[in-house]
Amino acid sequence: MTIISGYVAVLRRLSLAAVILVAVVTPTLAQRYELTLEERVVNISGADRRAVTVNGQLPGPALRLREGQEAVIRVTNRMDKASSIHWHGLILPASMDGAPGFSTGFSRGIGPGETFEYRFPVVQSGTYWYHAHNLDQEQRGLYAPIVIDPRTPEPFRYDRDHIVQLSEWTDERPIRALENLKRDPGYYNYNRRTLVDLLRDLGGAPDSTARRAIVRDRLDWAEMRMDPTDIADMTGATFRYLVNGFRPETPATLLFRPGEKVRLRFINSGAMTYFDVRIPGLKMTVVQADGNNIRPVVVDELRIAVAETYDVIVEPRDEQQYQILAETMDRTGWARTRLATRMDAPVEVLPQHRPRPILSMADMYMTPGPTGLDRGTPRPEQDQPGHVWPSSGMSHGAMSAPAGQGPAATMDHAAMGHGAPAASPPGGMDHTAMRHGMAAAPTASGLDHAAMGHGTSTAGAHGPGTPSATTAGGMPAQAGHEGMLMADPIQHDTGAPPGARVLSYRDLRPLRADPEYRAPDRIIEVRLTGNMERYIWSMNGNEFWRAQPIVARLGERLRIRFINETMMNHPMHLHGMWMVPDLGNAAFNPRKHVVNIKPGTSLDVDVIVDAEGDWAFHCHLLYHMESGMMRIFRVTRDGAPVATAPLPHQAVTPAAAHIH
Amino acid sequence: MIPKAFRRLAAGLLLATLSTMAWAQAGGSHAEHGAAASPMALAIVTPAGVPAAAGAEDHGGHAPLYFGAALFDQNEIRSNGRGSPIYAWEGSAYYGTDYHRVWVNSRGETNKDGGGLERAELQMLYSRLIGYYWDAQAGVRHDFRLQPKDGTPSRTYGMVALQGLAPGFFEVQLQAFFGEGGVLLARAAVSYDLLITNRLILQPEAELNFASGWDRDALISPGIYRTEFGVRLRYEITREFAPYIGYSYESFNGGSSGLSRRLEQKPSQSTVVAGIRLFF
Repeated sequence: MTIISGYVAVLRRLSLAAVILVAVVTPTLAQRYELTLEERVVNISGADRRAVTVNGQLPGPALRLREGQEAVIRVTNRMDKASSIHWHGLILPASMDGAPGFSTGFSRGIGPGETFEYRFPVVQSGTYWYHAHNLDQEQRGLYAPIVIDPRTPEPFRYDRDHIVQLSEWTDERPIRALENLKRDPGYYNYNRRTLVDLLRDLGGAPDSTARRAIVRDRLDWAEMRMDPTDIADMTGATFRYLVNGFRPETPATLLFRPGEKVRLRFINSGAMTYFDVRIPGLKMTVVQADGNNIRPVVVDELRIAVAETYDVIVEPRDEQQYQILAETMDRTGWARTRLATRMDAPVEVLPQHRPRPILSMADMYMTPGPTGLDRGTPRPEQDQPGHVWPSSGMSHGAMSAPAGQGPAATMDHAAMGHGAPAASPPGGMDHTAMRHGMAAAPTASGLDHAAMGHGTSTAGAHGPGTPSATTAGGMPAQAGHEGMLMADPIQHDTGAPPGARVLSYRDLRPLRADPEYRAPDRIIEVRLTGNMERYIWSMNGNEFWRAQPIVARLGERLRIRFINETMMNHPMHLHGMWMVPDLGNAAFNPRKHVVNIKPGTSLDVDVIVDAEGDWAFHCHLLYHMESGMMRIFRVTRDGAPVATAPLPHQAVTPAAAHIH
Repeated sequence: MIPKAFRRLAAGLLLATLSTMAWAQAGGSHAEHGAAASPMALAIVTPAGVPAAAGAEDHGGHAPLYFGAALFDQNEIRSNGRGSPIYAWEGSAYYGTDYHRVWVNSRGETNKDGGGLERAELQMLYSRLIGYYWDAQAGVRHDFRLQPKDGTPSRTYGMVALQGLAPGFFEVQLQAFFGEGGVLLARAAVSYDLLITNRLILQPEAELNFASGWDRDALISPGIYRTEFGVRLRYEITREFAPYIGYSYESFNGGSSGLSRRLEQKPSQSTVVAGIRLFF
């Protein structure tokens, strides 16, 4: 008896201890993850290839975090090359951002055999993702979702929660694919305009005027040496498009019961692919964009740029299968999954592709900024040779302004509200640059002065307090040449049938007014530049490895005026801070981590500069990033362009020792 | 992957070429910039500002890409219906970065009897991107003497060239050669890819050769001394592998036609060609 009662007492104590232990440890345990990176052989399109897996999975395992708690994620690299994991869209200390070469103490990433412990407070909620911060490993499979549960109840209700992670796979080595593009930018484009197309178009033309227009169009493009069918650099010629790792022929099945509200978390983890998403038979209620709640908006379709996330709620009422179709923007492939009531539902056939889009002359409507001066960096930069399309000035051929309209460049600036260069003569810029050069001077006031000088010289013509002079927001008259308008920087033409509603950035309105909304403190210009013919990509005419950092002052609101001088879309991504595209909704402009800049357009994007350190700022098309479309975005307390994260090789520069 | 040592060597060669030519170069212009702005500007040389050679490995692989390519645009058998067919090639290859490349051009053909080489030309160039569509090139050209007894003698020229894409998508190559005898040679070549379909491509091409004076042994006469026209229809099974058929016309002009007659060659000949275009 005594023995038994003794056991009972011990058991009671043990169970009590266990309960306490569970109560204490659970929140911590819930935030702990062990991730192991290793190469494994996969076979996705008929050939054995080595993929980069996380805990043996491709895509990696979804991380589920809770807002308000600390996340501890230990990443072990079991590959023979250095690796890294970047937490895409997460607001965290610079040292935990996971971008090799940027993040403090992370200059070489996670070496072979090493374990790196990421530890950061989770201060947001929503759908995000993580990926390797290099071309090779991300393209080969190192990407996975992050779902962060909010501290307070969400403003919408749903019964089921599914992740729809879009991505792509190539059997080629990513570096080889990049070389292919460098050798021949049309390497993967088998949809160029041909003689057969021309004859067919001419045959279908109603009259001689139309025929002349067709020929004229061909000649114009030929004269420009540009290809209007260059919608995607990499196409279905090499890519297989995946949802949650599954090819469209063998789609994953997302279960539902009729009448349920199903939350779908769309994540575009593709390296190069924009998807047009639709679910025939269902309306999608978009409730979140890039992890931030928005006023629910009901749409039929949405285009998801590379690295964006959208959360939608659908209500499938019928006991049937619903196809979640994600067609690539260039119409060369499908990613597909399905909502079904049972796992063994038969796989339906994919629909016909929509007509391929082609670029129009409006997409070529360039808005040249002042070349040679880079106001996004402490010192003026020269455009590297070959980075700026020679006809950017639009002063030639069919596109030149009619006589008597004055110089084309002046017209552009006036029309676009980009009068700034007139207010800052080159001499003034040099002066500013000189002051910046003196930033290492001991007096703090000198620093401020230099920074301010920089700000005022750029803000000149706009005035920082006149955000109405924007492109997307105000849409001022953009009378271009011969009445040609700049393409709408926001609206996507997805080829949707008439009456179908397509999501646009203008629909993304946060639930509450942004408390941090105010006029920007200064404006810098970031031209998206590059060479379509040589596959060179850059910002302000300089690739990453030869460019200056963009320096921002902690606490300021920095307006980046993007000017896309290329013919490609660029999903611009800033680490560590929110970007707020100016869509004309003032305090109801959304916070995003990726903002797409359409070809030949300009868009103002405000950065809430609230995180000190070196951050990566780049185009999220991986092959563009790898070609040089990236910058260090450096946030310092006083806006002085000094290194806050000295790297070993800086010791070579003697003066660097004096900085902090 | 190309071994790192080889890359360094290539980079070194490029730099050497550069400094010889004393052309403003990207890496160097950084230093100039700093010096010009103010001595303090050196203090803000940052990881991104460090020339590529030093900072390359520090950005997780975000470094300028060294890559290469080789194109055998003509790799073919030519026949004019009489005698045995000949083999001819024309190709180029390069290795380097977007801006700076080591460039090699080569062309030649076998003779009708025996299959030995009739003529062969090799150009070794440094190539630099100077604009959106254009490369400037400089280097040497060597024409090999292949038969000690007959055929054209060996020649070495210094050369400069401009190569790129002209409005209308015409591939253009303009080359100037400076020989030992003070004779200036020039060559202009144009080709165009007409896409019948995305894989069936008709490529017309033309080449003019010009000389400022006589070089009788090499069959060179003042004025336009040699012309070539061709049209080739290829099918790109892949971008790398494209079989083709075509027609080629070659002619000596002016004084050169007389020189070639003296060697009992016909001054012009048209041939039917068949070959495989290789690109890798």
